Amino acid sequence: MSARCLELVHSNIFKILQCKPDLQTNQYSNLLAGTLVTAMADTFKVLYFAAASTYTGKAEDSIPGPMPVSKLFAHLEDKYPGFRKKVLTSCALSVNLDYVDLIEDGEMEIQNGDEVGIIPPVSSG
Amino acid sequence: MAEPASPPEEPARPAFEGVKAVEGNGSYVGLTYDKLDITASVDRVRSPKAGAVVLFIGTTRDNFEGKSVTTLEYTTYVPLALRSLSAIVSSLKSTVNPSLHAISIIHRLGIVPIGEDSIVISLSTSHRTEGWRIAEECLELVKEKVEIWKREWFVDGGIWRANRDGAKGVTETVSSSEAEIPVELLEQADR
Repeated sequence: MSARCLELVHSNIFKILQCKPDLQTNQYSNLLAGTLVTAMADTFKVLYFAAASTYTGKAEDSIPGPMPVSKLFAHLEDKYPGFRKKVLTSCALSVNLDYVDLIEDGEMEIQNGDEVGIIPPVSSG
Repeated sequence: MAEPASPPEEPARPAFEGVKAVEGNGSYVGLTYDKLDITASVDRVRSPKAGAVVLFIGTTRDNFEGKSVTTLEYTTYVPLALRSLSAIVSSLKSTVNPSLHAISIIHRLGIVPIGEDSIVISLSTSHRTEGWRIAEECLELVKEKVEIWKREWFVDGGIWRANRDGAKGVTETVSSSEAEIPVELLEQADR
């Protein structure tokens, strides 16, 4: 297990104990197992919505990480030729539900276990 | 390129049952695959302090600029859409609008038959003037920001609609025609 994994697990155990001091042993084990699975993942998840999902024919992919934000669209273009020009160019990107800027946050590493969202222009209402 | 696809015979299975909602402190935001309950939306925001309840119902149209729409469906990124909806009601309920007593937004997902309701916004205010204004502001914010996508099916294929071209995270300029992406694949994984 890498140092970052251990760090993640430690901080999660700490959070679990802080929020839920009266946790039953089995509940604690379940939460800890979930934490370990995430920390030890060797891929991150990419979720596709709307046009992105139609283009790839999928709801999600698992991609080996870590990977800097700036490399993701090129990686997806290799996987799905034409994806960048037809879809990705108008999409935003979320990492663990927070929007990231493709240029300003380009150096940011997407970690294994992260959830990345490909967000096309929205059309609710 | 594949032939233009037609809407799925069997709609994608709902990703969840009932309503996914975030509520508290006079605010309610929800997502559901079920028919929207207008009375419940209105009752949710009633307040003895209010002199007005404003209700907006968005319904699904049978055409886009004159072209016949046969089927309409909505898809979403549940946790992110709920987060964005919550942020909108929080910002509207901030000190900027002290007379806003309660507000509720609920959006329908999946296939919505033509003429049925896709969104219901209800809110109560001390007086009607600010009620109309806040309701309009709320709808504009929802249409601009919330991670929900509409697909319109025509006789010759489907299109993912965009409320505003490249509203978020645009890295290059996109023309409006490019922002409407033809549907070439029948399989649509709905979340």
